[in-house]
Amino acid sequence: MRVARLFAAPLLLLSACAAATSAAPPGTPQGAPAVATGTPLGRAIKAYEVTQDGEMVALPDAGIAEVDVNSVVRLHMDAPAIQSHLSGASGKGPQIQALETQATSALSTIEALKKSLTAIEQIRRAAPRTDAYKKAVEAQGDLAVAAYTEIRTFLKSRGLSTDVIAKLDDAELVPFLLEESKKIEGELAQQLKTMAGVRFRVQAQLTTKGKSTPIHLPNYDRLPDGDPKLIDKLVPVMTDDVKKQYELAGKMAAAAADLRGTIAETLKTLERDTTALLDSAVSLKVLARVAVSLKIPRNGKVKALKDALQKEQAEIQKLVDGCTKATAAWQSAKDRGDPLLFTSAAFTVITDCAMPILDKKQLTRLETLGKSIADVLGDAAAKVEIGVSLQADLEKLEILQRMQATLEPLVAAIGAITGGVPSSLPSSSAIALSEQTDRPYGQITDTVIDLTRTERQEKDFVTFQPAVTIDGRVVLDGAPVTMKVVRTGLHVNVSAGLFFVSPLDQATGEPMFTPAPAVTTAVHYRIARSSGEASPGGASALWNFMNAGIGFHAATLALGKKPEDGTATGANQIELGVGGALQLFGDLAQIGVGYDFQAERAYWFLGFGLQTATDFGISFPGTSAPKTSATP
Amino acid sequence: MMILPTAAEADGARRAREMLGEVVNRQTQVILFVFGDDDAAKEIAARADVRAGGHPARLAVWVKNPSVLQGDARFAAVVEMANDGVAAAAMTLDFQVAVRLAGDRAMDPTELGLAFARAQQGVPA
Repeated sequence: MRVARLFAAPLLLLSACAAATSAAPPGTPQGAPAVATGTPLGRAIKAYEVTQDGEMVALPDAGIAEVDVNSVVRLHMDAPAIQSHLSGASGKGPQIQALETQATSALSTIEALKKSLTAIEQIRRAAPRTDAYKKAVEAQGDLAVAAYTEIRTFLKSRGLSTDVIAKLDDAELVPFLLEESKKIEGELAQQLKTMAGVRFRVQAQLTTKGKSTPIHLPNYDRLPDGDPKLIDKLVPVMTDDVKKQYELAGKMAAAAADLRGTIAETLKTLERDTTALLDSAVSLKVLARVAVSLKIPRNGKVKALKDALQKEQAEIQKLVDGCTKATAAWQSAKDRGDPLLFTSAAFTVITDCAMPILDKKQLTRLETLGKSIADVLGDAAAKVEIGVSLQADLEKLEILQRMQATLEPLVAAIGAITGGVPSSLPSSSAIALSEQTDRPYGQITDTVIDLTRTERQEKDFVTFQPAVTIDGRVVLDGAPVTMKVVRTGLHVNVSAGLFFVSPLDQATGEPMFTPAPAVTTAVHYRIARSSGEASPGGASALWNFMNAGIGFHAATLALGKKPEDGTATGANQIELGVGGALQLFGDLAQIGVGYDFQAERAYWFLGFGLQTATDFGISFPGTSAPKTSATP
Repeated sequence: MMILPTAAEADGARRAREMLGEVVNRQTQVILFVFGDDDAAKEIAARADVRAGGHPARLAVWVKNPSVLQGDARFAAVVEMANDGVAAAAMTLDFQVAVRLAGDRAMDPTELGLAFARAQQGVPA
């Protein structure tokens, strides 16, 4: 009876400790790595994406993971790891950790004792000298071994001699342990008093088109929660952005009577810059030769400049070679007058010329070189010694900066296409929440980022970040964890694009590739990542990168009737063309066939979508494309 | 706790063997023997009895004078342990030696508890 009564005794302190040592959330994927105490604060939160279908997928410990627009991200707090940061911040780490160990030990000891004592009843119920009796005795023996081992560990952790239990039978050990637990609770409370102002904070934000808004995290802030709103991925939606892009495409098509002329103009500007760059590089090369040829520089600054130029000579030569080759290809494309070749040549200039120029180390070196030249220019004696005017060369160095500004968006586009990390991720400094509810030691609990209750869109970023605060002041920032919002599985894209249309029955002298604004609706399929991955790997990664789609288009055309006499007449009315479309890289590259109802002619087209292009930060001559990417 | 009669008592040896024999024959309790008649043995016996408290399958037996068990083949191993300086020993339900304790270990309540528990497990040492 006494044993039974003791079982009912409340486990006073241990409820708090058990809460602190919270287990993984229900449904946590098996094999998810456990986070040990001593984990960096940023890793002390394990995130799990719960998809619309209820599948739970762990987020990786590093990288920018993709999450679906209709997912919920559960944030499981590794309470012991976080608490060690909190106690560490207060300087009470070792004492609190020791008490935690004792509390945990008391808990497991009591549990072991309870099992052992319960098993005694089995012995009593079995008939003596039977097999059942023997088995019950053995089973209780197993449990008793565990219980005494736990007791020994607990007493050791408390620094107590085993003699303290010499006069206590097994049943009496339970109240003894509860009493000890109370003492631990008191000691812990005493320690925690000294860290009353220490709190754990978690905050989250959604970054849409560069603008960040806080996301409500239950238990961690008092922000209002939005209404749940699922995004139907298979319903075509003509967003405001698509409308704007369609208008833009129309303007582009109308304004560019001859797109080739526009491209040629653009290329001419870039070519001028490139030529200037080449001049600059060649000048530097000459300058280097001059400097090297100086026999015994009497001026220290000249010597320094000479050394710097010597050092740069090889690098400059590489730059010159790369740019010469690229611009030659460009010139060749220009001579052939083909827009596609122009585009290809532009990419070559970017990769072989612009990117080396934009290399930060390269720029830093050249900037240093420029400063050295400027420094020497300020020294009349040195200027005389060199015997050349360097001012012009110094100015030419500035061309590099101009080239950088001109080419940076294009390079960013290339980076994005080749899977480079977007340069415009939300910065941690952008996280600034009011209504924060920082949680004290022992009250750390899990929370969720419910994307369905936010105004999220595809390509948005979601970020959460933990911190330790003392009296509201952040003393330890955990690394922010960023996720990218994507639409996984089957989904429909509506986008505006600029098509270059040619009739299938093209007559002699009729213009090829007439520009026309169009809207496409295409079905795409994005493969979701697996547990622990930031994004799918292998063939899935290639598939997602290709982002192929199939659908139909509607275009505003101006083909006109087929000329009977071989003379192009063009359209005298607005024509509507519809047909199929195949897309690659989202809506970036498109090809398809269609039928012009007014002109009664079939056509084919090559086109590019403005959605992906503007996402990459590409702007178009004479227009201002709406930005849709996240660029905080 | 069962305290076996000593040789100094009238018919002590016979009565001791009978008492112990009866327990062994029942095979319902594991036995923790405590050997000796000094203060240390007295304390160990007391502590062993506490560890047996509330456990129907445990029995502490204090053998102040192990010589009383001589002459009975069933208890030869017990007498031998006592003569070898073992302070306490736990026997399984089948009366096989499971644990031997000597020195400070025999005084440790957790060791005594573990000795009982291991004897219950029924695995001979």
